[in-house]
Amino acid sequence: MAKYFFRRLLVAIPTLLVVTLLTNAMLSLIPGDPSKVALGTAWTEETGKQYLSDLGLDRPFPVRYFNWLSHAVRLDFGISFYDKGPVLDRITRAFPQSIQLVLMILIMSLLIAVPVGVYSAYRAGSRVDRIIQSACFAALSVPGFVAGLLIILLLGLKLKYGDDKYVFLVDYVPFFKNPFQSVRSLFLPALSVALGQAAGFVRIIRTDMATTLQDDFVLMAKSKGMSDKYILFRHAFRPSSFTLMTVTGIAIGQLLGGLVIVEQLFGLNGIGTEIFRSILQRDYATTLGAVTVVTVVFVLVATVVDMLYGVIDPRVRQARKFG
Amino acid sequence: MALLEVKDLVTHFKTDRGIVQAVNGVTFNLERGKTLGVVGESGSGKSVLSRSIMNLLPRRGLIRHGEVVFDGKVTSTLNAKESRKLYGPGMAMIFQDPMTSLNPVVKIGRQLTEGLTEHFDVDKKSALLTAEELLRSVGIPEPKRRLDEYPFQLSGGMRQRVVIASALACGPELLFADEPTTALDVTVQKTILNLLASQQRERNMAMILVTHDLGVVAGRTDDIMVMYAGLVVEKASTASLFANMRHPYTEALLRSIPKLSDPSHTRLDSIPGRPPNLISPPVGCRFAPRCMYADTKCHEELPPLIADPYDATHLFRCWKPVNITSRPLVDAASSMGSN
Amino acid sequence: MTTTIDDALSSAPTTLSSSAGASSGDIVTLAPRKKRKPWGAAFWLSVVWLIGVIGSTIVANFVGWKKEVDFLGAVTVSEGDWRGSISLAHPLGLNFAGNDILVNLVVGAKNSLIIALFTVVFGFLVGGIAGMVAGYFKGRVDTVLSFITNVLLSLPALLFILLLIAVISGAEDEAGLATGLQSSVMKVSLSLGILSIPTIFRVVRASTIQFSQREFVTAARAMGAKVPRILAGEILPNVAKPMMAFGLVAAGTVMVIEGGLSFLGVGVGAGTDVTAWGKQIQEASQRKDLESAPMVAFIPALALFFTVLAFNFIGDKVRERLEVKQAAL
Repeated sequence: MAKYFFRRLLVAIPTLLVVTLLTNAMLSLIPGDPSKVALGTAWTEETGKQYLSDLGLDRPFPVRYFNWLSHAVRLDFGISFYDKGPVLDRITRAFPQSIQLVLMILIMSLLIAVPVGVYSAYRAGSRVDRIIQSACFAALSVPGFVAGLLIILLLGLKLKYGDDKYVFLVDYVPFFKNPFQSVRSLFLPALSVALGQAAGFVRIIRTDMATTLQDDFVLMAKSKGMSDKYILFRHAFRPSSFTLMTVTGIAIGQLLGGLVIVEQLFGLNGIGTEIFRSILQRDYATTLGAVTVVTVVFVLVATVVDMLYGVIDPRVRQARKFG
Repeated sequence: MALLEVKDLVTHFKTDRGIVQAVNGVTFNLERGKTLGVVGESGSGKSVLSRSIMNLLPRRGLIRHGEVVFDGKVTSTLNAKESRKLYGPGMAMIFQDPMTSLNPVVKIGRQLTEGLTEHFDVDKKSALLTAEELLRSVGIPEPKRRLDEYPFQLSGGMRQRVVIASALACGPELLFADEPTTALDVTVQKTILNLLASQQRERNMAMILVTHDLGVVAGRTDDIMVMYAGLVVEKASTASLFANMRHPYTEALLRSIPKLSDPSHTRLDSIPGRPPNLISPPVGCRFAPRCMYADTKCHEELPPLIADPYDATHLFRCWKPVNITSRPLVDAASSMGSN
Repeated sequence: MTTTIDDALSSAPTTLSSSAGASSGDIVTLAPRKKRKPWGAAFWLSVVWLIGVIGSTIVANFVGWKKEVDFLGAVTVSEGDWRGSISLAHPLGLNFAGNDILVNLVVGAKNSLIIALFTVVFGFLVGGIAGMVAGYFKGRVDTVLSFITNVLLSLPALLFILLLIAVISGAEDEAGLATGLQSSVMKVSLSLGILSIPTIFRVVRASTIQFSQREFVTAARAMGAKVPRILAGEILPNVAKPMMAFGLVAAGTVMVIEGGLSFLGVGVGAGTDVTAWGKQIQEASQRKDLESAPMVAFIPALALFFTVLAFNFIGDKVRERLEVKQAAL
């Protein structure tokens, strides 16, 4: 098993390398001169050139990339062009928030989706099932930010204003300072995304479980007198949860990056917002650093999920021992 | 009083295409410790019959008439929850495919003990000990180790033994064996059937053995019921059935079994035509379209189940029964042998 | 039915010879014809909606509705009187800038739909062909393409699209602030198209692999058909059917992403006068007085929702239909 784990990690590394290379390349392709953004009114031919050479931005691409890479593996992402502080700081400020949000979203979605999905499969074909299916369908067609907007308005929440913008400031509280408040502050943003996620999960669970329920061993268990609840959760759920697991794992990575919109709507400072802002600010160092972190998490999670298959499905475990 | 009394059981399914008349009025009794063989091809209704008696069929679109009395109590009217109490200690079933009858991701131990913990007041430890004993009694080597293993780690024959063990765990009085050997190698089939027979003797358990293969029931059953298109077309004690079969279908079934004693390259006899449509069955005798003796009356009027003049317990449903005057097929019965 | 055994006995043949002969013709009674399943009310509603939306954009083009600025209304709704601004001339009222909402809706629809169309077409052209090639030939081509695809898919979608947009739509900005973007319909379509390539590649590849294993492909090869002919003549028509369903759902997804991008301020219309639904939602929702006239934000949101729903629904129904037919093969 350990051998398999290391092999999977090995495959992940070239992926990471190529991703960072790609991101780097794309950033350098963005039109516009970062020095102009950074220096603003103080920009002149000379100051501009000076700025670029200070940051080593005038060197050829491969040099820049290797330079960056050699620092990155030591977790040194350089200095932010924007606020002149270490990039790592910007990332570590924003990252915990995003992770917490993602976790909350997933927990909420699963809490909703599992009972609904299982029930839907249990009563497959009935009216309740069809209603649930339609509801999921509709929920999946609603864009995340619209859902967020709806929630904000429906709950008629008062907000703080800044610069004529309609911003719902949540005042995020870090988890370890005050867990309860922390969860509370992220509750609404998490909910608006969780509803859509849950809808997707419900469909997956229902499909898989409805298929599993047709297997012989379910009838066998029934013929031994096991209750429906027992059969559903202690026999049928396990084999039906594989797709769910995979999708949850992918969702973690997707959400981390894709929460920009919700973060903007609710005025949060997550890693998505950092990336977004840094692109606009032409703060390549931060962009690169943040994207790398997100991708690393993504790839790691995918690997872990893959490993988990071995834990959950004994057949896979067997194959891997000798594989 | 018989252990199981089935009175005129009818089971139909409502589907998109119409009402499938799977079982159309089946009546029989089964005493404790006795074995009934139910023989027929796919679509004859034999599997539906077993599940219907056990109340295992899904409720949606199900139409049932008739009565089932088990151990003196009417069971056909029980709801799902009450039926569940029947299962395990009362009735149990084993299915055709051992590959799919066991949950691939659940340990064998649990699959054996879950019935015990559900129906009896036992703790986990004693349940596991019982499970181990069960595995031993069905002939599985190293039973203790197996408890922790998963089904995929066993061969097909072993798996079927585990299935049998798990069905017998609660000591049922009646076991339905639905094609228990069809998915197994021929060499394994006999051992499994022997196993079932010995378990039956030990536990004084009644068994309904459902199969399409006359060879399986020969010598292993007390009575045989031949089904076609949801109807019983012949019912007799095993000896009487093989000695004096009356229904052309039974005769055709027997004739289609290849015999070792036949010279090589003997053409195999099959029954011409296809199984009947259960949504709109033919008028008259259901077997008539494929029967070589059928005449107009057979096509027009459904024959009733009547008793043989020489043996009141031998019933058949035919206007033109065979073997009334010709030689009985005794050689066939003896060549299949028992045990 | 009181026949006696004697009747039976008397009519029994004395020999085993066949008399009437087995009539095998009678048993072939077909099951009653399965009534053609209707497509469903929701399906037709979706179709009607989409035709309405598309139709109105075409009509609008001819009627000359180009940009919203052409229709500056006399009344603005800053006092939150959206309801009051509804009249025959402005059936859906006016938005915060005093422009007719219905007009904006239709013009925005045009852009959103065009983007969806171009994105899907572009994605299928590149991703689809690559997928077919990879799925058919397998081997090294497949390994390389699949690796690239997996890498691209390791980047969370939104980040990738942000980068793409920055690269493609970025522009020199004198002021050096704000977005510095010049998004046009084509540029956004290109970015979204590139984003969609890996996913489309995967799906087409899987479908191609499935079909290449079928006998008619082997048969075509045995008859000496050359590769392009096999791909175009045998594989493509079969892959195209499930892809159609996928494409419809993809169009819906693209519209959602585009809406999100506009909401962030980087979609169509960033830095230009062009409008799209996402932008309309964003503009309205940014305002302090949104609570006084929430419908201004909701109308484009609802339009977006219904359209995406319609795409999803039709795509799903088509897929359902196709799957059933395939299974019978």
